[in-house]
Parts: sequence; C-alpha cells; structure tokens
Amino acid sequence: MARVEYAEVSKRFPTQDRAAVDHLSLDIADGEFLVLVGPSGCGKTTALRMLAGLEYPDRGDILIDGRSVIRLEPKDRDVALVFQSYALYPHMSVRDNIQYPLRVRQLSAAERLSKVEQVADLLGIRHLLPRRPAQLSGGEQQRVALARAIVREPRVFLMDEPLSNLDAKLRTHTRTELKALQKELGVTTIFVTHDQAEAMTMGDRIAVLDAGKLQQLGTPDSVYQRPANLFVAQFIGSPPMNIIDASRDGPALVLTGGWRVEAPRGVAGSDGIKVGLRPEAIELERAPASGAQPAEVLVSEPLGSEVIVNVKLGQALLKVRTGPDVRPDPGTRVFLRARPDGVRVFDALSGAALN
Amino acid sequence: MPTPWRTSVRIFTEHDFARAMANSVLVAGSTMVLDVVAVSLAGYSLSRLDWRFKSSITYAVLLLQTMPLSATMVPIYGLARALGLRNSYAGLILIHAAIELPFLIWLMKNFFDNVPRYLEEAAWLDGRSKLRALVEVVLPVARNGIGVVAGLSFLAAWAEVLMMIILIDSQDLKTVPLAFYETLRTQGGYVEVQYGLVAAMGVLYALPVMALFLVTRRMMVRGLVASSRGL
Repeated sequence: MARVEYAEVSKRFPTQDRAAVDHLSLDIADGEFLVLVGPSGCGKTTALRMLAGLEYPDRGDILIDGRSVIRLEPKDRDVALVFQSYALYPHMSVRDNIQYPLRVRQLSAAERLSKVEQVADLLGIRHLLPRRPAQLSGGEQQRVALARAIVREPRVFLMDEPLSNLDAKLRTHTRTELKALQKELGVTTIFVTHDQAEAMTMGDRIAVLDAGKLQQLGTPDSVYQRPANLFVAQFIGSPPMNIIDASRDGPALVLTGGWRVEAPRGVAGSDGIKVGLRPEAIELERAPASGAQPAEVLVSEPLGSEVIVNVKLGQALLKVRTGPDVRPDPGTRVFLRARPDGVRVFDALSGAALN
Repeated sequence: MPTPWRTSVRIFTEHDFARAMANSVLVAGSTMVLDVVAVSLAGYSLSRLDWRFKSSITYAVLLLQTMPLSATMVPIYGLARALGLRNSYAGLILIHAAIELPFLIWLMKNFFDNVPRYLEEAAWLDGRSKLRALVEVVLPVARNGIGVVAGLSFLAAWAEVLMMIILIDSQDLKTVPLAFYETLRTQGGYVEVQYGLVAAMGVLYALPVMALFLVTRRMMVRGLVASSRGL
C-alpha cells in the first residue's frame, strides 16, 4: 500500500570520479512493479539501497506515501529487500530465518509459526523449514529469501537481481512466478536487473539507467517501440536495434550504402543523424522489387521459430528478422524494405531521439 | 621418604594452593569475558565503520602490541597505585584485559572482515538495531574468531606472572604463578627448589587450560585455520 518517489536524488562515492546516481527522479504508483534496468555500474543498485536505507543520498529526497524516509533507519522504513546473494542467516534454520523479522513484533510463538507456515506454503518450501541454508540449492535459497521478505507484509518490496544466480531455465520459470505472486500480493515492488529481457517481461514500467542518469521511464512497449535515445534503443531488444549513419535528402533519409528511406513526419535535422531499425522492422525479399534496397547476405542464424539474417549494406552490418523458412545462403543477394512505422531517427551527437 | 601423595597434600595445607587456583580461575575467566565483549565491539567498528583516520588507528593499535611488558611495568605500577587498583580483583582483571586488547582487537577485526556485510544489513532491514544485529547475526557467524579470542585471552591471563608481582602483595589474592614462586625455600644460605611441590602444582595448573581447550578446540582450530586461508 505505498507510493514511492525519488526526487532529484544524487550520490557520489568518494572513491569514484562521477556520480553513482545523478539527479534521479521517479514516481512509482502503489502496487506497481517497476524495473530498474541498466548495465553494471549504472547506479540501479545504489538507488535501491538508498531507498532501503543502506546508503545515504548526497542530495535529493526519497518519499514513501508522501513522507520523506531518508532520515529513518532501515529498520523503521518498513521495506523488505531480497539480496542478490539472498543473505540467509547461516547459523539458523530456514524456519528461524523466516521467523526472524517477526520476532520484533508482539506475536506469540504460535502466531509466528503459523505465519511462517502460510508463507512457506505459498512458495512451496514447507518441507525445507527444518533445514539449514547451506543444505539448500540456489533456487531453494532464493525462495527462502523471498519468504522472509513476504512474511513481513512490508509497504515496499525491493529486489536486487534476485534471479541472477539461478540457471537460465529456472530463471525464466521464476520470472513468471514472481510476477504472478506480486500481482496476487499487490505490494509496490522495485526490481533491479541488468537483463533487458527480464525487465521487458516483468515490469509494469521500466526505468532505464546509464551512468547514474535516468535514460527513459515508460512501459515496456513504449521503451521498445519509441526509445528516447540511442542508448535505450541499443540496450533494449535482442538482437539490438540496427543503427545506421544517415543524412537527409529532401523528404527521404539516405542511409549508408545508398538506401533511401522515407523520412517520418515531423523530423528535423539534416546532417549528423542516425537511423534505427529493429530487426523486425526490415522486410527481406528474395526477388528484386521496386524501392527495395539490394544487400548481400553474410550468414543466416536459424533460431527455430524465426531466422536472423545478417546482411551487409555498404559498411554497415544489419540484422533482419525473418520467418523460419527464409534462410538465404551467404553471398545471396536479397532486397530490403523498411517498415515506415519502424523508422527511428536519432541525433548523432546527443543521441536523443528525433521522432 | 616423602611420597607423591604427601607432597601433593602439602601444596594445599602449607601453601594455600586451593585459593591460588580459585584466584587464577577467577581472574583469567573474568579477563576472558571482558576481553570478548570489548574486542567484539572494537573489532566490529574497525571492520565496518569508515572514517578518515581509521587506517592510522588500526596501525597504532598494532604498533602498541610491540611494546614489551617489562618496559611498561613501572608505569603500570604507578597507574595502578594512583587508581587504587593494587591488591584488588578489579585491578588484576582490568589490567590483564587491557594488556591483551591491541592484538586481540586486530585479530577480531580480521574475523569480522570475513563476515559479509549483507548479513547485518538484512538484520537491520528485519527490524534490528545495529547492536542487536551484531549480537544475533554477526557474532554467531564469527564465533570461531570469538573462540580464538577467548582462548588466547584466558591463556595470557592464566600464565601472567609479572603483573601479578607488581600488582599484588596480599596473600588473599595470590594466583598460581605466585604460588609457584613461594615454593622457593631458603635454607641455610641456599635457595632450594622443591621440585615435588612444583610438580604437583604444575599438574593441577595445567588442568583448567586443558579443559578449556577441549571445550573450545573446534572453534579455535577452525578460527586459526580460517584466518590463514580466508573464510
């Protein structure tokens, strides 16, 4: 039951040259699942820890339900944090680990145990209660860490890359489980990850960070379809968006290699622009067609349900998404067409999106 | 011909050995407890807190350890007399505890360095104050270090002779090392060592240490090995 706000939060560590978090402002709605995503060192974990009270901001304010919390000790903030390393107490049993946060409250032993069992049932770890953390697998430890957070019924859940230490299959399975659990519990959640696919599948909204600065805040769709700058365009999406140097020629944009593409409406700028096309925004044809740009195939990567065709256009290497049956051999001539609604234009110097 | 049994009984009847043992156990045990408490707090702050002169203080603490006891004998005598700590249990315990502190603090700091911070951070978020988190989470995880500190400080106080001589001259407070000293007998111009008494005392003197070692050996061995390989 909590709204979270970051208001122009900045922090610099004394050992570093640049700010770890630079004027970060976010407004997170009650019950929302917000993902903070970005490469290593972008400040996402620091931002999370400031909300938990484990780091202190140099400037700015952090509010929960409209009240500033930066002067509060971690224990008084009523937020739960699931650490990347799970941080289970090694000298206690799983049951005692999950009970631990409840011991500060005025609950009888029976009430405590019943809550622990409830949460254990929710996460399917009832059978693990008598064991020690060292006896559990990674996935099991992660569930215990989650249980310890959930049993507290906090205002906000914070999660610092909780899935990073799991193997790939378990990770994708746990993603959906976590998301469903959050919807069921309805608690405001802030989730940190460096994996853009994880961000896209889990977030109600995504906040993309780089070098301490917020690059874009939006729904997965808007971040994917309308990236605010080159960084976001290249960070989100796999395979990444194709970025090609271009210049303007009247109503058209001329990409390297001579490809003429119709300029989207309302785009200024002439020289010094880059055009972005996602692999699925390029149509590939085997036969020449009017208006289609010829290019040479370097290699095709079949992925089962689709194929990524790598083509050479002038100096640029482009990746094109095609159906599973389209698998041209290296050296084949193919013909490209750009989907007009998929053309993104960026300023080459600032990286900002122009449309 | 004196038998071993008759000799051994003499240490109790003539030299009040029972009282000496009790005093030694009391002083060494209290020193151990006091040291464990002080060293946990000091070691924790040196390990976790970050301030400008921290490395200077850490090195100063280490440097203090190199000071030999014989050099500090006279100043300690003066200090003990000024504070009224001579011929008192409090004096013995406090001074013994203080002697061991520099080394033990540095040792415990290293043990704490090997306890990951996220454990106490998790405890804070679970609603504990910093002190409670230290006691409930960090110390149990660092218990091998505590075992080493407890063992070393008990041992140091148990074997201490110099400070005993300086600090007490009352028969009520004498500890075992002093009881050993008293077995020297001057007879007819010669100083005689009464080996029978010394042997009897020696055997009994070693027993509490053995008992303590049996109890803490697992912790101590793990702690000593861990500090060389890194937990």
